[in-house]
Amino acid sequence: MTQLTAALVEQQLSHFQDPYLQMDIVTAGLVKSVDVDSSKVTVAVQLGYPLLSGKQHYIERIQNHLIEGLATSGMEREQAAQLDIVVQLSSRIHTHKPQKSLASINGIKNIIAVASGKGGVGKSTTAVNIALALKQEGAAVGILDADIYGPSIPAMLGVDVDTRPEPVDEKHFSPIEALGLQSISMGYFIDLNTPVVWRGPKVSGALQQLLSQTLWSDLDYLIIDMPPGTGDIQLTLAQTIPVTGAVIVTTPQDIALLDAKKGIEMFRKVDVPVLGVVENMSLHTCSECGHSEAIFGEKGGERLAEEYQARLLGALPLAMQVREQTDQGLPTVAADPTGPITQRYLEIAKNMAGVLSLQDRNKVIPNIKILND
Amino acid sequence: MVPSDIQFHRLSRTLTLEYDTGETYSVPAGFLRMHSSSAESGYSEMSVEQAVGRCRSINIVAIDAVGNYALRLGFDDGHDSGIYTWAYLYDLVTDRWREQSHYFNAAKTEGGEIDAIDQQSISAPVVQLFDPRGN
Repeated sequence: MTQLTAALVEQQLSHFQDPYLQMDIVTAGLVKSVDVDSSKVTVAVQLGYPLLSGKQHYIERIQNHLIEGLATSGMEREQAAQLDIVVQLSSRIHTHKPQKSLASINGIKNIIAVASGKGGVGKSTTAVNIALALKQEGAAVGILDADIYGPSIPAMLGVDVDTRPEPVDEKHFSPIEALGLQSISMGYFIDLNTPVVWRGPKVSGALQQLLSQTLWSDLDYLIIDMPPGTGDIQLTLAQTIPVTGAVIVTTPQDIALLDAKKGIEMFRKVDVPVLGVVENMSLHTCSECGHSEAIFGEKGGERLAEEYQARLLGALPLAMQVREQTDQGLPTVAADPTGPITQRYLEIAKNMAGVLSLQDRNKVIPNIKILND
Repeated sequence: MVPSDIQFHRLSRTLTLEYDTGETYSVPAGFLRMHSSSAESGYSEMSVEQAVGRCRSINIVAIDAVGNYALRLGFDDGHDSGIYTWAYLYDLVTDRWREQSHYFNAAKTEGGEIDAIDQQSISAPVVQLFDPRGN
């Protein structure tokens, strides 16, 4: 019979696929240690993304995988089944190392832009729900509403219209805490019914201020809800801060896809990696008859992801409930933390954080030095 | 291609770029000024000789990182709107410099060494985040 060794266990682990990374956990560098002590196996796995909701399930899957794998590689099945397998599963979200010169945004590990080419595809709804999903998985999350003209995050988070950010010192203010998220938005500084009638440079200036003068405290992720398009604001953002990655939201419809492509191209141009595509409003289930219909067409997000070698992070249904809950200031993930749509948001968030955790490591940032010679 | 290290040698007015592949290139600040891609560059209409003559004594005063994708260089002639993407920089320090380095070298022999820099007159370059003009 085969001797149980750490090497044997590790070999089995190298066949265990992480569901969010699409890669085995040994190659992804998640296995921190393997200890074998007669019939006790201790495996320490450290994920680069937050995981709470599926944690127990993940642990059980590793345990079953090991029992199964060891049983088929020479060990007696009964003996394998009696092994005491302890899986220590933890999450550590890596810091995206910014340029030294960009240190002014303190307290943020990763910055994710949620964008689309076209307006009205559900960007803000998706952004706010992804933020809440990451939070539910145990991460510290902030959300920045980069839509200066039409800020919608305050309403979606149910923040009272009179709430104003507290100034901390002459230059800084603290973000507003709502539903467990730190948030900042132009909406906190202006009257809801007063339009912002500004030209481009002023808008860019305002965004820079929101970015640099908010005192975030220890965020794992800052989600930026981008305004639609590929113009001034988008460029300002790409130029002033090291955005870790972008998520493109689209509907399956051809017209929206066309603009989503431009969004992807824009981020590629400024070296911001596209983490993936979220297909929104992909299916509508009639509340009267229960019939499901793909109103905006089928598989648009999938085709887009394929064409641009990005990942399809998930698809979301067109559901009345999502719209209602978000409009009432309690987005789906917060209103119904265990519901089926929330599950989808959780999957999207974990897929996204998974892709991001792999991206971080191959990031090259030049080191700028000035010498007096 | 993104450089792994960028070194600016202030007194010799040289920018050195190191890449992960082991490649290292050094070019004069004036050469970079000449090839600023900004609309305000002012040298696009000139002949190479003319531009080299005017640019060769220009130095860099500011190096800013622009997001993930580029470098913004500020020069002592006041020009600071040129953005050099990593790809453009690589093209400049390799092919373009190969084609044009002899102009700079010729200018050096003709006009002698560039005057020694008055150290007092140049303030240390600042590596800064925001465009000083605020746009």
